[in-house]
Amino acid sequence: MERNHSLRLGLLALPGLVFLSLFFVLPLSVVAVEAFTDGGSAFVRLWASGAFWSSLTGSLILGTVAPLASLAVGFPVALCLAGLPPERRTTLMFVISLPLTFSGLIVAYGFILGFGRAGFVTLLLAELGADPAEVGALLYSPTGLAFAYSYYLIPRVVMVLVPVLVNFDRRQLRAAESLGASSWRAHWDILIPQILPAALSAYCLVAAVALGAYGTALALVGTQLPILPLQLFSMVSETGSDFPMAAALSIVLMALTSLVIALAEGMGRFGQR
Amino acid sequence: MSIRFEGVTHLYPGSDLGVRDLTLELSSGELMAVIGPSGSGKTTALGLLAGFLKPQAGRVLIDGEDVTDQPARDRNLGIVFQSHALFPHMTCGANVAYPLKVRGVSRGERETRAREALDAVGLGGYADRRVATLSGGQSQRVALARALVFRPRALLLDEPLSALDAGLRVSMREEIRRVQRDFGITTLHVTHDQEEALSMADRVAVLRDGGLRQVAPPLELYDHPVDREVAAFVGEANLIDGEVRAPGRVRTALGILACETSGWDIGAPVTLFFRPEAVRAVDPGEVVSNLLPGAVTRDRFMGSVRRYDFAAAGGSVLGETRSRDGIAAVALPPECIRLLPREAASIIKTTERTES
Repeated sequence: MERNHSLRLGLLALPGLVFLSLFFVLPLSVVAVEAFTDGGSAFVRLWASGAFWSSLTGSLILGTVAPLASLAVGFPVALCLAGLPPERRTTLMFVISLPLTFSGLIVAYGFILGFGRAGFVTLLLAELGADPAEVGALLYSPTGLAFAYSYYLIPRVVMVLVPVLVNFDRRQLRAAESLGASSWRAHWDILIPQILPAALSAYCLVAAVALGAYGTALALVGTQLPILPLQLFSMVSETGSDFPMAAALSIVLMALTSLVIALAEGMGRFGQR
Repeated sequence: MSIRFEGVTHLYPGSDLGVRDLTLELSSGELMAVIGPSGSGKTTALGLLAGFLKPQAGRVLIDGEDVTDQPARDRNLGIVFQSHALFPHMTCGANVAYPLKVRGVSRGERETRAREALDAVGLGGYADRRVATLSGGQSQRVALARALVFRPRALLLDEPLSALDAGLRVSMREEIRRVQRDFGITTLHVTHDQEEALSMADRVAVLRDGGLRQVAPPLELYDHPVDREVAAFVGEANLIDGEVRAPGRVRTALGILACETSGWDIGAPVTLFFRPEAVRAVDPGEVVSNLLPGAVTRDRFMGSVRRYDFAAAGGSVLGETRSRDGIAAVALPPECIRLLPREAASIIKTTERTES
């Protein structure tokens, strides 16, 4: 009976396992094998190349600025949403999560139409005396890229933080104020420490997304901007490229994002205790 | 520190709930319980004193100082919430020390005073305990220590015992009363539990529909309610409509009853009020005033007493007895019957506090 049961469960899991092996484990193994073909010399070449280091720096900057900006915007939004009646909160959460359904390319074109050299925001600002060339150029810099990334990182931050803030007992803030704390002080002493694990977890989650994303970046800045995903893209798309080195680079990128995701999970666990 | 509400009105937008023209004074060191059915405005009154709500009219004074426009954090009042609202990320000691921390008291003094406050509520040695490990009664004590540690001007209790189970509630009443006396602190205690109010308070204020009905010491409130609504809200009451026929005689559905009628005109419509414990089970042949023969229609065993509905000719009476025997007649001792106006009283009755 017991064996029968687990056998049936195993059969049910089979299609999933086959799919996962074919499209995840197999390609990953091929990449790993490729990266280590000549005894790991691909990693040595990567280590020695200046392009890798400047891409790593660019990615780390992007992976820090974009989540920080998203958290700075997402936290007050989540705080506000958590204070709303449930029906209105659900409606607004739906609206806020819409950007997640758009492809990176669409987001990029949207930003070009809005903030590019001939974008309507750029032109509106030009009416006010801002140089359109300068405003337009901003979008194609790492800062501009972080700005565009925030478009779909903020909803992720909000979605992680809202449940935590809804569960937070706001009467504690009122109690703190009655005990003599100002509203700011009450939020700082009472709210922030209690949601810090969730905020760090949200930070790591969106940092991992910012590190790995490339569609928006490619559409916005081409391959000029030095970040790891774009370097990888140019390595595999150019003819006569060094595939073992590209494989090595993807291993590094994956290790980096996995590390950040692991940190996020760890933070979440810590917060649940 | 005395507390004074002076013609305070606060109505919630789009409703007629809140308090209307509330004038109420608590003398220094007094524990006043505020009771009333839900929606009567008792929590609003507490919110107005705490500074969580702003009155649309009137003033709130603490020790003669007008605090109407002061934010909650500047009022220096210790508040114990129904939910206790302890900070779960801090130890008990840090919770109690928090009001001292925001006042810039040095770490050493903070810790000493927090320990003293925990000692005062019977939780010595709990300073390093995590809040999550406390029982309901212990959380309650920590909340009380936190509300007292900074020597506030007054203590506000917002239904602090309603989250506890029955047995604990009774012992916490005494505990709160003892601590309140030790600190000699003026206290406003909002509760929906009238038994709690009667057993703890120096005086009890009864609110209804946002208005004050009566303020009196517990005994007086119980024996001399100002109108039938207060009589019915505080404890169990028999309320029977009647009309004064002659001095000492009132006609009711139960027949002509004898009772004190001085101060009432002949022909005045009145409500007779008497408590169930005043109703005496008697022998049908006994010669007493207001004898009503009949039969028990419903019998509720409450442990130490039985509470019963007694159907007599013309109506029913709620009685209470320690006896376990059958009841064939009851008597309503005339000295236990009080006359109340038929309509709700329009005059608020306030009794000054007498030092006990």
